[in-house]
Amino acid sequence: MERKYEIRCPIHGFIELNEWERDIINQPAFQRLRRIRQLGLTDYVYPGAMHTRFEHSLGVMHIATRMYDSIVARSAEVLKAELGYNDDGLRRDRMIVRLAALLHDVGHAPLSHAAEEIMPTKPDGTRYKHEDYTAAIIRQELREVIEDHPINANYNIRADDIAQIIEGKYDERANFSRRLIFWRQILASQLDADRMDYLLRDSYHAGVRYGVYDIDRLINCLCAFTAKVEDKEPRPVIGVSEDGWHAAESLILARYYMFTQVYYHKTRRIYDYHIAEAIKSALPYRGLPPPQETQEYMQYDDWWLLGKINRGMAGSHGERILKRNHYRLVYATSETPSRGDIRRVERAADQIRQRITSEVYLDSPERPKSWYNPGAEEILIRRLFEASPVPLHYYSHPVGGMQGIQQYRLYVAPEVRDEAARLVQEVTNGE
Amino acid sequence: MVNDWLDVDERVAVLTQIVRQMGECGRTSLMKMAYLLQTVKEVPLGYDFGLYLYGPYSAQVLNDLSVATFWDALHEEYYSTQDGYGYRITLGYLADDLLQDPQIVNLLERYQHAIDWVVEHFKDYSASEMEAVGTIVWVDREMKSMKKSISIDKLLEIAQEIKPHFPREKLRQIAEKLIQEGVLQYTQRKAS
Repeated sequence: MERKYEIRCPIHGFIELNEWERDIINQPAFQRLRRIRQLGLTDYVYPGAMHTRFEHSLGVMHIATRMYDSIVARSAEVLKAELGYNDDGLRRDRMIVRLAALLHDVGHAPLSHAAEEIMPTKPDGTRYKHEDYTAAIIRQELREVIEDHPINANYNIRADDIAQIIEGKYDERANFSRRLIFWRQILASQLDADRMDYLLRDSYHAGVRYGVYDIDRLINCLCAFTAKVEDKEPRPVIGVSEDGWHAAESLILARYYMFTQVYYHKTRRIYDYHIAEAIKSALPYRGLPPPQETQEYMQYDDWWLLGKINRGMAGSHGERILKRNHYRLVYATSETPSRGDIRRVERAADQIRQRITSEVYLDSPERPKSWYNPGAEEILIRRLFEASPVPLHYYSHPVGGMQGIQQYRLYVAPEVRDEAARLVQEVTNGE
Repeated sequence: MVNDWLDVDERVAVLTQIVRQMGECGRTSLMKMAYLLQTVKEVPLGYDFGLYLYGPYSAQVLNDLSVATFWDALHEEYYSTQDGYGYRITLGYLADDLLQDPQIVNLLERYQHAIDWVVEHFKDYSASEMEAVGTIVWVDREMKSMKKSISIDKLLEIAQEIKPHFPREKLRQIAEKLIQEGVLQYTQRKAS
């Protein structure tokens, strides 16, 4: 009989763990998440938003498990017929999903997403992402506690199995199967445990209500069924039964509101820029190490960065963070700009650079993790009286009408705000 | 290369040009063609592809599609069938405005050869076949990051996991054709 432990969570109540999970949580690689804030410097706008990736990770594990159990309870026949499951297989994959959910964020850089744009580049020119660091940390730092734990004798799970489901890549050391591709939807989709947790948690700590939706109803309506898209062979998917579509709609709307009101708040966004620049100044010359250098990477957490800022070792942007003297907004396009709008704001940024100051920043949807995207991995609804499922927007006009936010924002140092604002007006009105 | 990725209007123009040459297409074809352009022809679209239910996938492609429809460069229509659904993508009424912009004309000249290649080779493929192509190329390129080669049998085994109901012999034909054309770089006909 496995011994159980409980951790109290402000969002979900008691979160239950077994001894294996507790031992993983006690590893330095996971404890580091206590020193990575979930929302960067959002507390500069919403002072309560001081929570960390540690509590979020526990919450994601909890929700992922509820989702898994709900789907299995409602759709065991589909899972057995389409994915060849038996009870042992379902029990093992439940554990993989739990561990992947628990560990999905261990690769975050100081103050979470802001540092993503200074991560080193891969040989193909693209940047590493925090998921690459997560996978490396799981394989290198957590392999032993995952693979050699006595409880794992019942599951035979490899660190590579967990890294693979997070990465969405092929790994010859792992069990590659369509089952993992299927369950990956719980970790990375429009309907994943990550956003189901962060919307509620971020709302709670920020003191807003925008991210609240009916999680109990939504989870109770999750199910697996086969769907045929275009002329592709039908495939098992995770979706929502028809009576739960309003709950699914409320999740999408909650996310939209959270982006517009919190994640994408104009002051919060500029602090992400100051954070990235401060990290660059505080790091050694070569910047963040590549993912395989896990030991060095794990030294970089919020305590390291805030200590550097506090000691004046994070450059002018560190100084701005210390004094809350951030760049100010002088222009913003609409949420869905035309090509002409984009050109105008880019020209205005160039003009400011040439004529006033180099301390200018154009926040654009090209930057990673910046903007709300309604997403394309559609939430499918299993209908009560028809055999074929339909995407959520078939029922929900608000969801069908949503556009991604592609807004551009132009910021300058506060010392030249008025001058820059006048110039922007000249440039944008002069066309 | 990080700073050399195409801008949003340039990416939208590439997608629009694909649709123009196709006449019309579905989301799967557009997704996989964007994948092939970036992966095989190294057009710097900057999309972040990962493995999803239907092979390599990037939400950014559909985000750009949504921008394209908002700009009326493309038009997208939902349709349902007896047993499923899909989207039909055609040119929007402002497609020419975008494609005739001098900056875009220059850009397309640079990548026209690649766009011609992808459209000429895969124009007649169904969504299911395009998914097979994308999946096979994805497995092949996964070997690149592992610095390994893979036998065609192993590659087909992995691709079949992702597309379990697709006929194995058809998968093999597609893989053989892709080897012949030099698209697959890490797949060997004989066991490695």
